[in-house]
Parts: sequence; structure tokens; C-alpha cells
Amino acid sequence: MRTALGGLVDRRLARAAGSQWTRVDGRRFHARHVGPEAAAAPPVVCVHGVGVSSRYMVATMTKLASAFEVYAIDLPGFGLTDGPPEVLDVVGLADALAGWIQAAGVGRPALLANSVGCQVAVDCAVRYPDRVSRLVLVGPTTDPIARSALRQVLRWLRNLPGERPGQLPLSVADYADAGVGRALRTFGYALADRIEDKLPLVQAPTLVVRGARDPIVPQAWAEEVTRLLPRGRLAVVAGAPHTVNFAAPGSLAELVGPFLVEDGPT
Amino acid sequence: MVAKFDSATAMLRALAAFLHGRDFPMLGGRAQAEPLAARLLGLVNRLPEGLRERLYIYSGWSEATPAGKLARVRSEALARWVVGHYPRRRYPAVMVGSSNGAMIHLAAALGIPWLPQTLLLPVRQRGVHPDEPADDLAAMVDPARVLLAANPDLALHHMHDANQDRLMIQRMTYFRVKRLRLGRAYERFLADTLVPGGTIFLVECTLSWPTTKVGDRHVFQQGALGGATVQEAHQGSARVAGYLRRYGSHRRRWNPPAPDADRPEAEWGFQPALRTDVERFAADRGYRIRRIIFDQPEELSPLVADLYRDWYRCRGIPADRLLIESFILLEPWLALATGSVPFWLVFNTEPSLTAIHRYLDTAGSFDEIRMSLFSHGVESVGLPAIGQWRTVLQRAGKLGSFLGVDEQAFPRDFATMARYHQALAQVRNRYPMPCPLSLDELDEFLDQQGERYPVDWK
Repeated sequence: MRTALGGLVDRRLARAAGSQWTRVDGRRFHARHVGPEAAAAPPVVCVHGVGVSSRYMVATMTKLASAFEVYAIDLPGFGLTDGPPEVLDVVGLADALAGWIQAAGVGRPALLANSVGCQVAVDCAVRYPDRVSRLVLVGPTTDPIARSALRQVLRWLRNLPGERPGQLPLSVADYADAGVGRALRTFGYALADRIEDKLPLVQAPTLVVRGARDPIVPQAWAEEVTRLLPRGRLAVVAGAPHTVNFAAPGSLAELVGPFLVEDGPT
Repeated sequence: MVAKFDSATAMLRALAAFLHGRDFPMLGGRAQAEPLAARLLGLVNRLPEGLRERLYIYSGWSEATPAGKLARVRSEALARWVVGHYPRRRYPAVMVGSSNGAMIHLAAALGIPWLPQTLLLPVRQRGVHPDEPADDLAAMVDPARVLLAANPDLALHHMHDANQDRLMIQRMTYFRVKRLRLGRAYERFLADTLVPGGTIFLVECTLSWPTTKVGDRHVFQQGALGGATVQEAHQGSARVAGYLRRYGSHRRRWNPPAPDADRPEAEWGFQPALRTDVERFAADRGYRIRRIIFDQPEELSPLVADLYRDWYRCRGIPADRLLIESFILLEPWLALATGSVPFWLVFNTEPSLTAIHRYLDTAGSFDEIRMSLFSHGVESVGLPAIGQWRTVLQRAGKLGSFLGVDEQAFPRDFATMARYHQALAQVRNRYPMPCPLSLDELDEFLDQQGERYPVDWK
């Protein structure tokens, strides 16, 4: 449910990316949309992290929009997409994402995800390989050697000073829309989700992106994610924090653009 | 009295740490101090360039010996200091001779120690301009005479490289001493630790350099292996003139004492007099001698890298991790623990960049490439920019990363001395430490390879 603050933020974002509503299994799904429909490569679908929404993806969307058709969805219960009464776990969110991809008729898109969104995207790519052509995992969670709420929160706090202050109003609106309870429950599900077991099963070519100053995703974990992926590759964005898509969208787009049009079977 | 920052010392300590079952943080420093040192040196990297250079000069000077104390140096004491690093146990073989990073990995694979022929004795001086090699020689003739008179087992190679050692030589002189005979401490170590009929590997890098004879067992070497060629060191070039201009020198080329012959290069070259003595000792005691002969230090690197690759494959470990090591930033323990194929580069200059690209051209792809990059503080002749080094990492199939390198600060990234090990230690997916390779397994590998590498085994 959109709060007043969310409405204010959305009026500004609407200039950059329009809203689109799709009915999936009787639920209205919200996505932002930008870019040419006749783009050469498959469309890109941005998947947000825990508690937040498509709003913090708009900066990256606009950087990619000259060459790609880009969507950013609100997963059920976040942003403007209504959620079911129960809180969905990673598998439930991945099912919803796969349902939206089919219902929206976006073909076989590339998924660009951030943080916990990477866990959703990976689950979706593993169980619905025919609906995902490529993956871009920006700051993938959850590092198994820090699989506890306390350690994750400590890392999150260490990351905060590196993020751009402009993200604050967006995040406040997002958390207000989703509700802190849903955000916390989703965070708990993400902690329990073992992405490391799924990564070896991902068939899609995958670009892993890490901000060089991201304490939530240490270099060793980003390398481990890449190593576990059969077709993974790692890129590090100098000086960037966890949310590369908001803090360094230009650098991210420079990495993602060439990756999306690379030759090779997908 | 022996420099900690020198190649021979770092290699000795890295190998000794390995044989003690340890990794090698901070070039042999205390592991507990590494996080703090990495942070403090990270702050140093943020200081203005000039201040950073002063700190670098001071750190070198603090390790140098006052010229007046050279009379106290005894080659036997140096040898005792060397052998004191190693665990006393029985070894099937021991290496003796040239310093070489790839050789350190070979010795680690075989689980054997190495006794260096060459050590660096840095000597404090002041008032000599780095671009006046003849002045450096003149200032150090008397201290050299005193050192050599007290040490008939040593030859002195006074080395002066205003290109790569520009900062260090502002307050010190490089005295590299080469052992001409084994001496009592080395002989006793060999007798105590070699198994009966064991093997002494003579590591013989035949790299030579035009030098000037100063006196008996005393030569002067202008320039050093690295970015500038031998010719540039002596006759200059447009690159040298540009470099000297950039550093505000009154010179546009150096004017060193005229060389009179090619002799073993000061840092890497093997002085053959030692071989005669090792042959005598081995004949007396019934040991075998095997000579490992190569012209350039990096010529051993592809052989050792491929040996590790082969070893990993035999052990069922994916041989797809490449660890490129720069100069003294070595890690034999973590190389094996992380299942990394070690490829050693002699320095951070253009010929080394070419060497690693050449290896990658022939060796096939690696999924993971990690690289340390030594910083010597100088924008010297023949130093590739950081972007050129990045092209090596871009050849990785999956991930390529510098190990603890501050890309903005290179080549004045002094924090890398503490950070390279920290970064490598964090690599996940470890493997159990294997039993050492046997000499038979080494021979089997060498037989399979035939004449593939420019290394002679005699």
C-alpha cells in the first residue's frame, strides 16, 4: 500500500520511468518501465532487495534505457504491488517473479538484481531456466560465513555511511509501504535461503558485480559466488557500496551493457 | 645487518615459514600486527606523494648499517643467521644458490630448504646524488675494502640503480655480497639435515651484467634488471632523459664508471666459484649434485607453474587458479592451501608484464587470476601503468583481482606490503596441505616435459 511519502517520491520518479500494472494470479503487479521496445537484446528486469522496491532501480534503468528495454518490478508486498496476507519466502517470491515474466509477456529477460533480490533471481533462474536468459547479481547475499541476523545487521550498519544520502527518502517510503514486519520476516527467510547450493545449478551466463566498499558482500564471498556459478564472471566497481545500482548506476550500466549483448548461447 | 626488504631475505623467510607450516604475513612480520599495519599503511597511502616518498626513504635507511660497522660483518655469522631460519630435520635435498621466487615454490613443493648465495647489506650514506653513480662508488671504496678484508669468503657487488632504487639510494648504498665458498655454517647445516646420499640442487641463474672491477672480489654494477635495459643504464636513452627530467635531475643520462667485463648480476646472478666448493663438499660426503641452470630469473616461472598445475590435477584439484606474485610478495603456503598455481614475476616492469602475457598465451585459460603488485615508489623507466597490469586480470575466465593493491596509489602503494597476504588469506575453498613431492615425481614431470622450458637440469 502506497504511503503519502511514497506518492511524493513516485511523482518525481514517474518522469524517468512509467508505471505498468499486470494481473498475475489475481494480484495486480506493479513494474516501472523504460526504454525502446524494439531493442536488440532481450529486456532487462530489475529485482529489488529486502524491504525496498523498484524505486532505487530507476537510476540504473535510465542509464540502460538508451539501448535496452528495462523493467523494475515490485515483488508482492513491496512498493506498489500488494502482497498476500502471508509473507513470501525466497521461493515464493521467485515463483511470483516467474509468474510476472510470463504474464507481462517480456519474453526471456535478463534479470538484474540487488542484494536479497539476487537470491530471488537465482532461485527463479534455477527453477524456471526457460524464463531467464542472463543474470546480473549486484551485491548477492547471503554470505554463509555471516549467516546470522546480528552479523548481517552489523555489516549493514558498516555499509550505511558509504551509501548516497539520496537513497534515504526512497528507503523510508519503501519500508513504510511494505511495513517493517514484512521486511523483517523476508529478511529472516533470506537468511535461511542457501544460495550457495543453488548457484552451481544456474545455467544462464551471470555477471556478479560487487562494490569495492561493500562490507555486506566481502570480496571473498563475491569470488565464491562467481566460482560456484558454471558461467559466472566477477566485476568490482571501485569505491561503490552495497547498492551499486543506486550509488554508481553509470559504472554499473557500463559493465552490464556489453555483458547483455555478448555472443554465446543463453 | 641484512636487509628485510631484500629479495633474498624475503624468499628465505617465506620458505622457512612454509617449512615451519605457516603462511607469510607482512614479509615475515607478526601476523597479529597485520590488520593494524594494513590500516596504518592505508592511511600512509593517502599522504601527499612527497611525504610518502620520505617515509619510504626513511624505512630503508632505518634498516641500513652505518659504514663504520661493516668491519664487524662476518660471513659465518650471516650464514648462521640464514640456517637459523629453518627447522632442523632430515631433508632429501637442499637448494643452494641464486635467489628466485619460482625456485622458492619448487623448494616448497619438495619440502626442502634453500641456502642463498647472495645477501643484501644496505649501508647508510648521505650526500651522494642518486644520479651520480661514480660518487657512490668513491664514497664506499674504503668501507668495501674493510668488509672484504674481514671476509675472504665473500665477493662484493656494489649495485647502483638510480632508476628503480631511486628513493632507497638517497640514504643508502646497496652492497650485495656473494658467497664464494660454503663455509662452516652452511656445511654443518647440510651435514646435519641432508639424508645420506641426498641431493644438493645448485640454483644457477647465469644472468650477467657489465661491471667494473674495483679491487679483489669487488665489482661495481650500474643499473639493475628491470624496466631499463643494460644499454639504457650505461648510455642513456630518450626514456632515461625523460625520466631524469621528470625527477628534476641535473643529468639527462648517467655517467657511470666504465665497465670492463660481464660478470654475474648482483641480485640474481650465480657466482660460479661456489659451485666448485659445493662439488668438493658433495664428493667428500657422498651427496649428489643437480644443477638447475637458466639465463633469466623468470625462465623458471613457467616450469614451476606447470609443475603445480600437473600436481593439482593429479590430486584431483581444479588447476584453474593462477597466483601471480610480484618480486618479494610471495606466499608459498597459501598458494598450496588455496590450490593456486604460482607464477613469479621478478619485478613490476614491462618485461615482467610481457612474461606473464606470454605464459597466458601458451598455458590456456585460468578461471581465477589473482595478482600481487610490488610498489617501489618510483615512476621509473619501463614501469607499466596500473591499467596495463589490469589487462592481465581481464584474461581470467571468471574473476581477476589484484591482491591488496591500492590502484590509485601504485607505484607508491606501500600498504600492499601488509595487504597482499590479507587478501590472499581470505580466499575461500581451501585444500588440505599435501605431502611434499618426491624427487622421483619431479623427475617424472621433467621427463614428460622434455626440452619445453629454457632450463637445464644437469
